[in-house]
Amino acid sequence: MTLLAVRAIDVAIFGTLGGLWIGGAIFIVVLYRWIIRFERNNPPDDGASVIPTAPVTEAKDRNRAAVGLSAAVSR
Amino acid sequence: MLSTLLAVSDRIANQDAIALSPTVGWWMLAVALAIVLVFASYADLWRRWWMTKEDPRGIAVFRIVFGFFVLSNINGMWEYFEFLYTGEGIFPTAVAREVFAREQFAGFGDGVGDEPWGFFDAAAWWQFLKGPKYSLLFFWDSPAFFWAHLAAFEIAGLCLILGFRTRIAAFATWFLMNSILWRNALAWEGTELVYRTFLVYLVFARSGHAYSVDNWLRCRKLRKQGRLSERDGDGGGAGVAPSSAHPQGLEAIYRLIPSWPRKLIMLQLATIYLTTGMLKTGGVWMAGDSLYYAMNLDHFYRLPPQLLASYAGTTVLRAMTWAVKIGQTMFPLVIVGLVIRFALREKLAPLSSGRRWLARAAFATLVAASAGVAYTVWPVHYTGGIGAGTFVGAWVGLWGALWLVWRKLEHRPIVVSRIFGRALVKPVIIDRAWVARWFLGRRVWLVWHIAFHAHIFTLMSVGQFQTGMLSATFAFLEGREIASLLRDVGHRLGRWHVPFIPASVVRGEPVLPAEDPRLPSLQRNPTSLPLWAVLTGVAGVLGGVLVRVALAPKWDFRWIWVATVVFLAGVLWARARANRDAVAPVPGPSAARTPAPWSYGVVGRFVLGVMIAWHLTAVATWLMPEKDSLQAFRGPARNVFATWLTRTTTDQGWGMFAPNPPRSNVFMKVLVTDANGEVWDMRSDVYAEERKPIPWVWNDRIRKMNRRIIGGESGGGDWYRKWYARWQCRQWELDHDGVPAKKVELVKLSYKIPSPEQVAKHGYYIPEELLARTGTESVEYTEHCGSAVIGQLPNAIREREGLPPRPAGEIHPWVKHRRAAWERKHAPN
Repeated sequence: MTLLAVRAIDVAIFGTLGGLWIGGAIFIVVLYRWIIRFERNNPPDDGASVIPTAPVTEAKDRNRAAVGLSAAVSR
Repeated sequence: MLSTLLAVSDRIANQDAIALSPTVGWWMLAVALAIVLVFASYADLWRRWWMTKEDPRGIAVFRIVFGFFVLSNINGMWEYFEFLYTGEGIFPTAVAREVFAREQFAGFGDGVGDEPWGFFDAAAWWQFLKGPKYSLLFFWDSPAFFWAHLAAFEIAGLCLILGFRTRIAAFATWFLMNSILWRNALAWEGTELVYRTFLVYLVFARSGHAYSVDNWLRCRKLRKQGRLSERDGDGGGAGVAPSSAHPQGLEAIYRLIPSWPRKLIMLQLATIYLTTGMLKTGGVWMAGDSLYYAMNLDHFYRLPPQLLASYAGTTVLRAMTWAVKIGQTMFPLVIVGLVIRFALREKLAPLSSGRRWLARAAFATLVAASAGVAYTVWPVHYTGGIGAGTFVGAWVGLWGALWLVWRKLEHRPIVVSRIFGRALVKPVIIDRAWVARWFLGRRVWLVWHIAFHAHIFTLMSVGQFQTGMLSATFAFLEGREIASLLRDVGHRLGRWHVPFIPASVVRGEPVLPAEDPRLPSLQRNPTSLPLWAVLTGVAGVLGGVLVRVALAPKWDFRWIWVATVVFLAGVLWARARANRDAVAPVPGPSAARTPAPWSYGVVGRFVLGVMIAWHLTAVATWLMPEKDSLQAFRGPARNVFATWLTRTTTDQGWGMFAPNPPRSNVFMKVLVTDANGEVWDMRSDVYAEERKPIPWVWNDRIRKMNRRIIGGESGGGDWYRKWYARWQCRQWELDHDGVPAKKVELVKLSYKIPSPEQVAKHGYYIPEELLARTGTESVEYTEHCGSAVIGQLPNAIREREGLPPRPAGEIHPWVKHRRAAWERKHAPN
């Protein structure tokens, strides 16, 4: 009976909170995938305080798809 | 835990607790000393953490995001700009000077009566300059001036976001924002504290070294001169040392910057959480009902939560409440994790035997002294039925166990090869690095932080508090992390053919490196204070405290601290002279490890070291909870740092919804009786339908102001009532062809929110219906417009509006006779 008395505006908050939780879960999954991929490509504890993100080499020697999403895609 | 226990006490003055406060003070001094000695024993780590340079891209993103919300926060008050910040609003200029900055303007004439407008003499100027409220709006606050001031603020903020003349823009944004805020504190929320503290740290950061117009212009200029290291050129963008090919060397695109402002921002966020978590000690928090009550505050919810709250109030919302309480208190673990990871990454030389034993002794003292605090205050605080001895035993045992676990993680890490009976492809090694990454890691605590604020932001309309706090998330990301993140997102967008994505990003090329830490131009002078000098410094600071407490000299005891600093400076100077030719060798290209360079030279590092130690002590002291068991020393200790914190706008307090959230909905109703005796309801709060838009998108500061004025939250706002009522008098006169009202009444309207159990049992309630049925009304303040001081529209405004002037006798100015008081005070004896 209580449910019959529910207004549309009351239901909106369920949708809001539900959307937040679903969106949040997707965000966490995407974030953790990115973190794990980032750490795989950038070892966190390699002893360098400031890590040149790309090795300082001649341009032609560099592997363009060594990091980032491209690397993941290529795998 | 310790501070939580301290914070749980009665609101009524507890004489037994007050009697114990001197003993508690000595114990807490021992705690502070132990903490300092821990840092002293790990001095190299301390130095490396605070004094080294880093990639500028992390703080640059923080600058952009936070700068945007700095503007948004001030702009969110647009409906009340003239009401709050001009002489035609609630506080005419002279009143604002008196109620908000009386001491500073003690030697300032308002131009009323026979007093001239302006400072009486040079001493009066000096009195103002002593601060802390440096607002231009205390001098000039016509609507025209305010709008010009606001425009200047907006331009400064925009320059900050764009990174154009970034340092100047950051300072101007900080100054102009505070100039606005100091003018009137009526609308202040915790939000303002967040923006003031974070922004001042940003001022000190070289945040314009990346993602900025400044850096773009710099690179363009260097490129023209052939002095820029570029992606496809020598150095790959990271810079090149001078050589025969490049006599001046090539400069990096992203120069390294001092890391300490970003680290202070991280620490500040952890401080906010720790403080507010520890202060949330009331019964409602402990019962898990805080989120339920917070959601049901009519001043906050975006959508009516009553139905959801009736279903979830005793289950999901309780779990979420405890998740908030625990998360806030534990959030500083993320700093512990970051420091541990930093230490592991730096691969510092192992501590010498002496330092190792000093660290152990200091940790043991820390545990013992903190146990001493708990043992001392046990008889006068909530204890949950646990005996003092039991608690102390558990406390010491906990730290002993943690120490053993920590040793095990170093020497014999845990190897997990199977989970739920299934063999892992690759065993997980749980060592210190793993614990720092996971249990103490950003991936846990920042996700909690984002989730916490996402919930508040989605469910409640509380302005830019969440956005400011969420901005700080970016300060936890290092430059290479943020650069990779942006590049990956940009790469994905580029594949979707989103325009304006740089070609290198679309192609998926690696992120540009930051400045090569091996460049010879960077600071590497290793001179530092020896341990004996640091310990002497600690003894000097401790000596100052002891002299203050035991002897209470007439002279300022802080001169002992000054002498200590001078002594340390002398030691450092001697060592720097002895080592002036010694610099750490520059690692070669094949070196496995390249330490980050120092941010500054020897002198700069010393000054920064002293300032950071001072500032951290100041904030920690300032945030001691207002408990009877701290009464003997809390006030005097805070006074030592008050000047520093108030002038740097880092004075702070984070008792949001603490110790308990409100459990009633409180509104302010304004009733005006006109010249004919008819009473008008000004419909000034959300009890009026038109004041309560659903869904509630944009924040409206009237709700905070109403609560502050009428007493809807923790006290201290009563004095606003008369000024608000007088403004209503003036406004009525202005809006009604110059005919004044008879009186203004401020009415407190409230109703109790049903408990979670009640709504779970009887179903949800409708706020309007509950207010009408159970609400109470009480007149809290009455102002008679005819006789009120500054309760009449000034003749200058009447004239501007084409209204006839009122006889001088009908207008009641506020004459303060400051000049006579000033001359009496400064008369030669």
